[in-house]
Amino acid sequence: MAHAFTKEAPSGWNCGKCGEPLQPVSVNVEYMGSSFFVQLPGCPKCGTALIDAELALGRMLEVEKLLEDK
Amino acid sequence: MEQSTLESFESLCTQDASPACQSNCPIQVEAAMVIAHLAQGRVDEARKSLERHMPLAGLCGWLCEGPCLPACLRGRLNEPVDIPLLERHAVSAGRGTKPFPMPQTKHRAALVGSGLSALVCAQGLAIKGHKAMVFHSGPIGATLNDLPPGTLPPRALAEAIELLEYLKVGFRETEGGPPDPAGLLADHGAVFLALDDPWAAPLAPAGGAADPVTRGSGTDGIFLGPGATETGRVEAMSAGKKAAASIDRLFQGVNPASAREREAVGPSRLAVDLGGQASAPKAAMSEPPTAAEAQAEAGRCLACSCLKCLAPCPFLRSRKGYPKKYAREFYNNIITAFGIRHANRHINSCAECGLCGQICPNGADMGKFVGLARADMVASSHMPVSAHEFALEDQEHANSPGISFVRPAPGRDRADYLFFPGCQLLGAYPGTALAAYRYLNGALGGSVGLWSGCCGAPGRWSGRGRLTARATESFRALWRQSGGGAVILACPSCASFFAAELPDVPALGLWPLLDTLPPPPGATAIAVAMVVHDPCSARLDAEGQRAVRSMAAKIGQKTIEPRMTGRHTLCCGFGGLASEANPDMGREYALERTRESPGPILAWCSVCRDRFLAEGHPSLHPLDLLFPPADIGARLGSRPPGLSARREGRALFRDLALGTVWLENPPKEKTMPPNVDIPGEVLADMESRRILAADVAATLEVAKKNGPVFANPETGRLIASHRPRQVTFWVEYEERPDGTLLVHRAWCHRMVVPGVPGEGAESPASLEGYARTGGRV
Amino acid sequence: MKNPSPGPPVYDPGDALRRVTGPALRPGGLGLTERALAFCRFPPGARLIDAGCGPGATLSLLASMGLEAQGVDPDPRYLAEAALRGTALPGSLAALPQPDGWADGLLCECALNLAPDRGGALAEIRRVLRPGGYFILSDVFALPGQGGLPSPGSCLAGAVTLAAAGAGLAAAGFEVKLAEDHGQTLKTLAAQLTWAYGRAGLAHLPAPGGACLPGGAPRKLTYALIVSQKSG
Repeated sequence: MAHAFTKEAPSGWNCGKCGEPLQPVSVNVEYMGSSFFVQLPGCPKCGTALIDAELALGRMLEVEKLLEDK
Repeated sequence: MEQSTLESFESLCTQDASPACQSNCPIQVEAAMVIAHLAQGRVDEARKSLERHMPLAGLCGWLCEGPCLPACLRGRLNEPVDIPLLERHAVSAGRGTKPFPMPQTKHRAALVGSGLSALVCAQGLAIKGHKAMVFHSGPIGATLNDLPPGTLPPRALAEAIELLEYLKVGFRETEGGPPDPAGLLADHGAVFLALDDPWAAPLAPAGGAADPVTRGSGTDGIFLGPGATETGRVEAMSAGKKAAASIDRLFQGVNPASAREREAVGPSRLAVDLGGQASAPKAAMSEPPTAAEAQAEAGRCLACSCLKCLAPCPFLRSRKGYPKKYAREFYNNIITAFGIRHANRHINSCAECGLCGQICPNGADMGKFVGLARADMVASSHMPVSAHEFALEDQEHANSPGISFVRPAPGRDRADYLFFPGCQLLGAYPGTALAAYRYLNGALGGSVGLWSGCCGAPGRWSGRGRLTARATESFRALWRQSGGGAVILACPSCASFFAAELPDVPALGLWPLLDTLPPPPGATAIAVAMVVHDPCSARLDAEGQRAVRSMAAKIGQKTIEPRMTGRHTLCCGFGGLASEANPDMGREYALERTRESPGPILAWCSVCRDRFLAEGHPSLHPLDLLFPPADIGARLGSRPPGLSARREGRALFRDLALGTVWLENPPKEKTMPPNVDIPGEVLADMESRRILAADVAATLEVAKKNGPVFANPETGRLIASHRPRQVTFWVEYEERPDGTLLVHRAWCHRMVVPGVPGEGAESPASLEGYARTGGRV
Repeated sequence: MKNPSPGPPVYDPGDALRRVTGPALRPGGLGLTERALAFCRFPPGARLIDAGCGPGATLSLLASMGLEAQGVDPDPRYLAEAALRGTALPGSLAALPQPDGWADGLLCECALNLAPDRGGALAEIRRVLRPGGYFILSDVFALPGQGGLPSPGSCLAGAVTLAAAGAGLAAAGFEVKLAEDHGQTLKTLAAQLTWAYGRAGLAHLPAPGGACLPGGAPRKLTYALIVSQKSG
C-alpha cells in the first residue's frame, strides 16, 4: 500500500520568490475547527507550501468532506 | 425544530403501518413476517414469528380460518395467499419454543369452561405469572375434541394442555353444572366465562354482549368468551387473548380499556401500489403441502409496503430508507449536541421538488421537512459553508449593481408590466430573453418594463431565512419604484418564490400571457415530437402547463407526454440546490428524466433544459421555438453555457438591453482580461469544480502584482495562488512570448494552509484549540 | 503478585496509527494530558502511574515536569520502548504491579475501554491510589441513544456513554471533578488518518488505527476527559 504520508516534492518547481527548489516542509492545516501538521512540498527558506491539483482534489477533498459532515 | 414537527410528519408516512393481513387479524399476527421466513425456507423462524402474537401457536396455528383473506392484496390479482395453510405448515414443520415462565404473582383467576377461548386466556394469564384455574366438565378442550384429525391432529391439543400445565395452569374437573361466577369472585380476582364450551354457555348474561375491546361483561371482574354470534375459531382466540390482557391490567391496577387501539381490526393505512405486480396464480398442492409447495405459496406474498415515493426519486432511494425514517435521522442530526452530524450531506441532497408529497396518499412532503431542517442548521451555524456557497454568490452576482437593473418601457416613467426573465435564462441565452422582452412590449402596447435580477430562490432553498427576508425587502422596494405594475415571470422557480415570499406583488405567468397573444412571426417548430417536461416548481401550475402545450400546438410543434408529468413531474436536480451540494445526486435527478424520454425534451425552465443538455440529451426551451436562434438544430444539441459564460451573459444582457432598447451607455462590467486564454477543456474541467474564469483572472491578477508563487524553469510554467474568500484557487499557466497567459489547469481547496500566500491571518494553528472546543458536560 | 493478564491486541503492528499520532497513540496527543495535569496541580515528586503507557510518550512528559512516574503495559514490545523514556513495568488494568495506596495520581488514556472487566479495572485503580488521589481518564465515549458499536478488540467496543461512565465512577468510589467533551480531537484524528491513508486506505488499516474509524468517520462517538478523585 502506498501511503502518501510525506508528499514527494514535484521535480522542477522552485519558489517564485526565493528561487529555492521545493523540499518537504511541515505546515499546520486547518478546517472546520480541526488543525494538524502535515508534510507538504514547499520552499525551505520562506515556507511557502504547494498544494498541487492531485492533493487538492484527492486526499484534501476527502478530509474536507469528512470534517464538513459534522 | 420541535419534536411535534417531527411527529406530525411521521404520522403522515405510513410505511411503518401494518399491512392488510395484520390489520385485519383479530389477534394481530404478523403474517407478512411469517410468510417472509417461509419464502426463504426458514420454518423455525416462521413459527417463532407466529408465536409472537398467536398464543398456543401449536394449537391455534391449526385452527385459523383466515379472516384476513378477503383483505389480502394478492387476492386483487389472483387468489389470496393461503395464509391458514402457511400457518399450519409453520406449526407442523417449525420447532416451537417454550415460553419462559414468569415469577408467580399473588393473583388468581377462574376460567369456567375449557373451550379454545379458555385455553388461550389461560396461557395469556400464565405467562404473566398469574394463577389460572380452569373449571371444566368432560375432556379439556370441549368441542375441540370433536374436530376431525385432519383439521386438528389430536397431539396438537394434548401438547397445548401439557404446555399449559408446565405454565402452572390448573384444571379442575367439576361435577354437575358450571360454578356460579359471582361465587368464584369470592376467592378469585377475576372470572372468565368460556362461552364456546357448551357446558359453560348457559352462563351467558341475558341480553348483555361483551365489551368488544375488553371482553368485560358489565359486572366488575367478570369477562366473557365468544358470544352466540361469534362462532369463528379466531373469534374465540381473540376473545380469550383480549380477556387475558384485561384481567392482567385489572390485576396491575391499570384501566383495562386504555391504550388498546393496536388490537382493533380495520383496514390497513399502508398505501400499496399494485401496478406492475406480476400475476402469480395459486398452484395445485398436496395435502399436507410439501416444503417446496409451501415455500412457493409463500413466494406469492406481495410483501406489501408503500414506498411509492421512492420509485421516481433518487434522493429517497439513496440510503435504503423512507421519509419517516429519514425525518427521524434528520431530526437527530439537528438535535445532536456533540459529535458528528452525518446527515448534513443527505439533508442537502434533496431537491425539495414536492414529488413525494404529490405521490403520497397522505401528502407527506419530504422537501418541506428538509426545508425546516436546513433552516434549523443555518440558525444553529451547522450548515457546512461549502454546500450552497456558490449558488449564494451567484444570487449576489445577479443582483449586483453592475448586473441588475430595472427600467420602465422606453419613454414611460412607470411600468404597467415588468418582464422578469430570471437570472438563469437571461444569463444563459441573453439574446432569446431580450427577443422575448421586445415581443411582449410590442404586443402589450409599449407598456412593459424590464427587470434583470435573481428572485432569491437559492437563499430560500439553502434555508437562509434572513437572507431571504432581505432579498424580498429590496425587491419590494425596486418594484414600488418602478411603478408597482404586474410582474411577468418566465421562470417557474421565480413564480413559486414570488407566490411564497412576495404575495402582495401581482405576478403573471409568462405562458398563460403568451397564449393570449398571437405567436411571434419568426416562431418555428422542429420536425420530431418533443417530450414536454413540466418544471418541478410548476407542478401545481395547471394553467401554465396548459398554456405551454397550447402554444406548442399553435406553432405546430408536436409533443408527447412523459409518464411522470403535470403534478407528478420530475425535478432536473437543481431544485433545492441538490446539484450544488451533491453534484452526483443532481445528475441522478436529471437522468431520471432523460432516461425515459424517447425524443428531445421541451422544458419550460431554462435550468432544466440546460441540465438535460449537460447530460447529452437534446433539449429546448419553448422560447427557443418562439424566438429561434439562427440555427435551432445547433442549440438543440449544444453543450449548455457554463458558469462563467452565464455570468458574462448577464453582463451582456444588460449591455444589449440598455444599449439597444434604452439607448443608454451603461458602464461595462469588468469581464475577462483580453490577455488570458483558457482553452475549452480547461474551462469545462474548472467549472465542474465551480471555478469561474473570473476567479482565474483574479488569481492571475494577484500574480501579476506579486509575482508567481512557484516557477518551473525547465518547462517555463508558473503557478499562482489566491484566496479571495473561503476557497484557495491555484492556477498553473505560462506566459506566451506575446504576453498572453495560457492557463493549463486550475484547482481549488477549502482547507486553510498557512504558508500559502494570503492565508496566514486565518490560521489558529495551535493546541489552544483544546480550550476552545472543550465544553463542560 | 497477581499474574498480569494480556488485554486485547492494541500493539500497532504496522505503525499505522503511530505515524499519525506519534507515540501518544490517541486523539488529542499530549495536549489533553497537559490539560489534566494542570488541573490536578501535582507537587514535584508526586508519584504517578500511567496505566496503558504504550511506548511511553506520557512518561517523558511526566519526567520533564519533575514527577515520579511508572508506566504499566501488558505488551512487551511497548515496554521495551517505554523503558527508554522512564520506568515501565509489565501489568494490566486487571492487575497493577504497584502496592495499595502507592500513587498520588493515575492516568489511563485511551486504555480503559480495552479492559475486558471495566468494574474490576476501576477497583484496581482505586486500590493503587491514595485517598484523595486523582484518576485521570481520557477515552472514547458513545453518544447517548446510539446502538452497539462494531470493532471488537478496539477502543470502540468498550465505549460507554458519559452518563454511564459517571455512574460507574461513582459506584467504584470516585468523585468526578472535571468532565469535558473533546469530540473535536476524535474528528481531527479521523481527518489525519484520512489525510495519511485516504478513505479507501483506511478500510485496510489494521487495528488500532483502522478500527478507530468505523466506516471512515467517528460517527456515534465522542472523546472526553474525566478527572475524578478517590473518595473517602
